[in-house]
Amino acid sequence: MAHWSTFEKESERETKRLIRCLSGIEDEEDQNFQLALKFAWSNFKIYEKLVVHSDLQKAESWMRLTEEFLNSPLPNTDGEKTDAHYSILSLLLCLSGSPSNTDFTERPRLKEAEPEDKFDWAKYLMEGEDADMGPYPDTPEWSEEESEDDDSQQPISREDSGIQLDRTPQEDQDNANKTVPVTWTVGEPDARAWLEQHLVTPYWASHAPRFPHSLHLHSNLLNVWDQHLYNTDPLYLPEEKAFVTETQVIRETLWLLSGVNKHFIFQQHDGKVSVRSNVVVTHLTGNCLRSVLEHIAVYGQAVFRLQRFIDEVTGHSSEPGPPGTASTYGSKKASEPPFRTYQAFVWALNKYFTSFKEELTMIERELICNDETVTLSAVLERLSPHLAQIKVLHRVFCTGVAEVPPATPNVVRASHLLNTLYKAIIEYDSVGEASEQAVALLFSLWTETVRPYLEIVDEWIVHGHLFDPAREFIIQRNKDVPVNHRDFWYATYTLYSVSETVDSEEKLNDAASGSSGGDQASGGRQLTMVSFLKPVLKQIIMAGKSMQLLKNLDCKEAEKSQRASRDAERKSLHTLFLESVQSRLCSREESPADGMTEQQSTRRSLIKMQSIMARHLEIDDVHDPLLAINFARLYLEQSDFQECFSGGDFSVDRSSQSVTCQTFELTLRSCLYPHIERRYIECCGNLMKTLTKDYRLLEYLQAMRNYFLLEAGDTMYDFYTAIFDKVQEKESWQQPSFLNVQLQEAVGQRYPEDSSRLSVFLEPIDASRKKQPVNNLEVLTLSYKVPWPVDIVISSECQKIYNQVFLLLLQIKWAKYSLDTLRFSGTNVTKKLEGATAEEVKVKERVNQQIHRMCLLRVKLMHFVNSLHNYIMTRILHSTGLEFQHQVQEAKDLDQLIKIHYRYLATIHDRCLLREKVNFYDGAVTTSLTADAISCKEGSCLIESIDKMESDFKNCHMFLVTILNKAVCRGSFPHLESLALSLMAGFEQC
Amino acid sequence: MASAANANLNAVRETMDVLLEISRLLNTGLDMESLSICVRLCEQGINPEALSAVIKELRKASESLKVQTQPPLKLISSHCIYM
Repeated sequence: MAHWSTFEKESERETKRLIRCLSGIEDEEDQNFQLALKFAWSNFKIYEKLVVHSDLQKAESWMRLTEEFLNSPLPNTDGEKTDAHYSILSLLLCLSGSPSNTDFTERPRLKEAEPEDKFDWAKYLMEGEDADMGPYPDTPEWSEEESEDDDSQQPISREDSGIQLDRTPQEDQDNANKTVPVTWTVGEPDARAWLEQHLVTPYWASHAPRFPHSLHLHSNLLNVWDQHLYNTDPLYLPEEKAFVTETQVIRETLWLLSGVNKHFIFQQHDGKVSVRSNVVVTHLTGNCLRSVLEHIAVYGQAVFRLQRFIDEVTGHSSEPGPPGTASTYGSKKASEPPFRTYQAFVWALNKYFTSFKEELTMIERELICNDETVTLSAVLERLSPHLAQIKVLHRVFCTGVAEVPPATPNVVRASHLLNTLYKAIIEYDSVGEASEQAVALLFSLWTETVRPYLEIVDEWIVHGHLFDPAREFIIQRNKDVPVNHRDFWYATYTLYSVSETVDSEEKLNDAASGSSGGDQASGGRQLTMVSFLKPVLKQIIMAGKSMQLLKNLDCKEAEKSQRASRDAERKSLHTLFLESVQSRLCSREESPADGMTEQQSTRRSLIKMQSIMARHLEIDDVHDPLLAINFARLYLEQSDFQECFSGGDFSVDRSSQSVTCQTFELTLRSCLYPHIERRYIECCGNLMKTLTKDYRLLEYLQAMRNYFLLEAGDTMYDFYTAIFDKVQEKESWQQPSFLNVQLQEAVGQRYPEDSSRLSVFLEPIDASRKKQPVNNLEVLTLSYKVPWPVDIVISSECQKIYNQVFLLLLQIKWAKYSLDTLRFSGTNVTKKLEGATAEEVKVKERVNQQIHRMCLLRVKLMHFVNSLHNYIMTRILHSTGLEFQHQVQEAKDLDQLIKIHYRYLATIHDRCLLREKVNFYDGAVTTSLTADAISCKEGSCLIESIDKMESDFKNCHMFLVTILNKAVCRGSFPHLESLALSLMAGFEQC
Repeated sequence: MASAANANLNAVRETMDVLLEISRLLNTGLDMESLSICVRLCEQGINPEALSAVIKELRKASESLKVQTQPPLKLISSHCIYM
């Protein structure tokens, strides 16, 4: 403060003194004192500033105004120049923004002695006395020219309620040059004035003439309330108001709900409906009216959004919205196929709105008739069930359609929508009777929306053709797999399932796991595909695939033509479904009323169903919407439905509605699933019949058993003995030509048709397995060429397993063969050595002894091999084969057949001890034994070797017996029992 | 009694008019409604400097609020299984 001039110091001192004098505050540190000081200074400064800026007028105003203000009373403070005055001024100063730079001219303030009284007391007092004022005394005169211009140039749009928003005459003039000439003209020059007088005053125009209304106190609540506010609150500001009548409000409400876009009372901005703020009626306070209208606006917005969705899907959006919002819901370019699920949904919505609009029109007509009093609250009361339904619809629409991101594929959209509906039904269903109507509405909506899906399913399981151009069905055909490919059964279709929890898009490919893809994937996470199809999904897939396969097989011509003729009168799945639901409803209603027995009721419902069917057969087009309309009405107007369909006069049981709805899933189970089930059985039955009859599936299975499992004993005997002979002769047998010739010869004699299919080739095996001579056989691979449709069942994987069993059998056969052909030359030796020396005799005896031991060992070995052979050939292959044949007869579909076949092979594989674990013991045993037998035969009859062989055999035998006994005791392998017993017997004799 | 109250009301109304003029002169940007609220607050003893700070802060905040955008929608994804 040191640099302050003496003048400033002096003036500060003086100011402080002044404040002290004026306020009486002695303490300079007092907050109020500081406040006053600050104000004084800034006041001086503002004044000085204004003077310096030579805004003398402003400066003068400032001085005068502050003076005046400080001397005026404040609302809640007594006295003048109080702290409050100063703090208010201080606040304004703090908020002030460059006052010197703004234009300011002081406005002359009216010094009114009394506030303007808007209430027309004269009229109030004269009420009932003035008779001849005319209906519209306030209507101003219209100049002739203006009205003429307006009349001829006012366009009326279809979407428009006829209300032009806030048009000033200036705008009208501008528009007049651009707009298309009129849809209607009224000939008389003052037609507009006439219309205004007789139809409606243009309440939408700003400063519209006030309409007359009763001056009774009740119809002037607004004025009374305003007056009250004005009198009690000095800060109350009366606003500009647009007066309307309740009738106008009702009509605009009706228009809003019927989907008209332009209104006066309700305004739309970017799809949001709001209430114009200054609309009032005379008999309600503004807030009251506003709260009611805002309630309506919410529904209006729901209607608007639904309507826009309908327009977009149907493709006639009359008003092109702003880019980005326009094509969000599947309104696509013309080239893209239509998205039928949305179309069906829209169709159902549209049907609902048609009936809703009928109701609205009826109300409006009553309003026009003027026969009875229509109030806004009465209208709302009357519409309340509809409004509740609109709320439900909008909710479903929001979650099912609007919240889906734009780039989502159709399959996700469709299943999401269906799921949303399904969930909503179940959700409302659980509330019980409170939401009966909502459930009814949603159910009718659902039955409509599900129609494309059912049609796709229908087309697929009846004609074998998955027709889904918009890719909306949860199952889609992989285009790159032809029908006559062997992978057809496994890799043709893709099942989409929607999961809302996982973010990224995933594709799981499990071609190897067969067609049970759904089960595979559901293990890891919760998948929510279209839930209503879930219980029958497998049947649908099976039926569809079977049908497609069947279509591509050469069916009998007669059957084809028969099918074609039947197809004409066939009903679609959707129709069948609707009919079942109807008949179910009928029987439901009737049973509690009549108290009949279960049997009677079913019979009666059957008769009724027949009559309904007959009625429907009369209709040429099965997809007649009339049916669906009736069906939808069935829920909404139960009594109406009864008249239409059942014709009887049953007492309406209220609970019957809820019964049907509460058991929604049950309804599906009894009305939809059986049809699919029936179709599935039919399709798969046909396929199985065709495969077994025309394609000799069973014969091929038998052939596999014949050759691979050696069931054709004599044929295969010819083949393998030829090989064994060669081995015996120590000749080379591993020549494809030799092997094939042998095979052809053997097979050609008895099964000439199979000889071309069978072939043998050699496959080198790894050196590690080539330990024993018996392993040499493992290079053999038998192959059987299976023709196309049958190779779905007998795949190359199956053949591999067959081949393994075949090789094992071959090895056993060979062991048996070598033991059988084993001859000991010892006997000859003894004969030759007759009459020799004692030593020779001694040697001979030793040799004989050895030979005897060898013979014993051979017999033991033979016993062992024979029991093994018996076990496998009879106990396993034969009995399992019988079981298999039995199961094949009972197989319902191809998938089941494939599974049965696989299971059969796996069982054989297991029981032939080829499974890795068991193989370890047993393979070693057999091979070592047979190898021993071979080496025996080679005549190296050394005692040590015999000893070794005996002990080896004993060990192996014992080992095997123990293992088998253990297994049998555990009871896990009952089939092993016989083998264990026979081996045990052989062991005890040792 | 009623007329006295009425007179008082009128006086207050005039005061407010004067105040509005001052407010306009100082270019505070307050309209009648906000001005009357401010008057009530000041009468209740609110510190005018604090009040002015609050008003400025609120104006700034509402400006920046208009610029903000909506958060994006959650995603729905799909899975496929070959059969």
